[in-house]
Amino acid sequence: MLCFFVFGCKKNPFDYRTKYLGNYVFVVHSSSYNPLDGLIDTTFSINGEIEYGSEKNTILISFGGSTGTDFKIYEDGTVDINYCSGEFETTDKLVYSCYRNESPSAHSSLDVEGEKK
Amino acid sequence: MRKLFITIGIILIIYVSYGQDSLKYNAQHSKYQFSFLAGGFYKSFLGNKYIKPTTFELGDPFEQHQYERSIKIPAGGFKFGALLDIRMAKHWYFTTGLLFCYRKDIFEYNSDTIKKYNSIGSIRNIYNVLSYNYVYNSLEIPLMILLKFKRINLYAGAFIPILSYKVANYTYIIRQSSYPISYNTSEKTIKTLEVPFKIYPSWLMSYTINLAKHRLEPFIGMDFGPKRSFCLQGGLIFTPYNYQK
Repeated sequence: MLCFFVFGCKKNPFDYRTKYLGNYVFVVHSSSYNPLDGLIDTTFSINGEIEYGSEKNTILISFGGSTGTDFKIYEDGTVDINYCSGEFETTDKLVYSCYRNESPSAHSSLDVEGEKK
Repeated sequence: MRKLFITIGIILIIYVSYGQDSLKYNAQHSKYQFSFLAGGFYKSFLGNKYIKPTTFELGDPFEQHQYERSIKIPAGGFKFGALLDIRMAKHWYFTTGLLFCYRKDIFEYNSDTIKKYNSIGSIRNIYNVLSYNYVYNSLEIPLMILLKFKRINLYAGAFIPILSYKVANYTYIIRQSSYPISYNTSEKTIKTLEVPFKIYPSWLMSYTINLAKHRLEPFIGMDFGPKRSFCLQGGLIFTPYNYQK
């Protein structure tokens, strides 16, 4: 019966990812440069959420109505995926950044800071 | 391995049930005996404390190689709680109970090794960990067979953690500047409630000292844990009402 109550819930209290899940406010700083458009630099704030990912060791970070990105999450709160890496500084605060060189003269970067509501 | 422990558990239950039905007891002997245990232990390791690296293959989960190139650090701990002895036959008992247990797992790296094998970023991440310091505050159930012979008592079985409040402290190396290269350390603590899925095979040996209605048993023993660790332990078992003289 106890097992039913503990594991039957949507949030498993014994899963190391559970403490990070919830609704967040993300502050996103986006920057890109290419020779045609020049530098485009913008910062905005947006609501989003963090849920369990598709794998046992991933979380789904989504904001602004996007389908989200499955980040790998480690036991210490480190998160990473292809071009992005960061960490949960506390169980309520996520910081990550992404950097991509799209050509020798073009790049884009994203710095994201999320705080649990 | 899990099937083996389930099988051992079923055999123990059948054995205890059989004992309940078939044994005749002396009126002076109670079938059940409560006692309290308190003790400390010191954890060390069989063989080398250095964890050698294994061949890394693409797609290996991070956890598979997480502690490689680190050194396992010995640590102390303690446990206390209540025990229940169930008499099964002359001299033979089944012992269970509930104990609080404080255990530590510590892994430390050589900082030069981290600088050499891992890229250092401006942000903390698990690839830059200098030391893992885990503290487990666990509720554990002992499942042991006890042989009492005169004043000597021999316990053999295992301690099984059922719930653990884990406090993990991570120390990272962070590159502060590139020219000249300088490093700093940073720490983070993560607290989690978890079901450990571990088992600690154990044996204990105690000596009975009868004190009127009470009984005192100084004990020594040994636990065996993951990563070839073992705990030398010692302490006292105190029985407030000694029914099983």
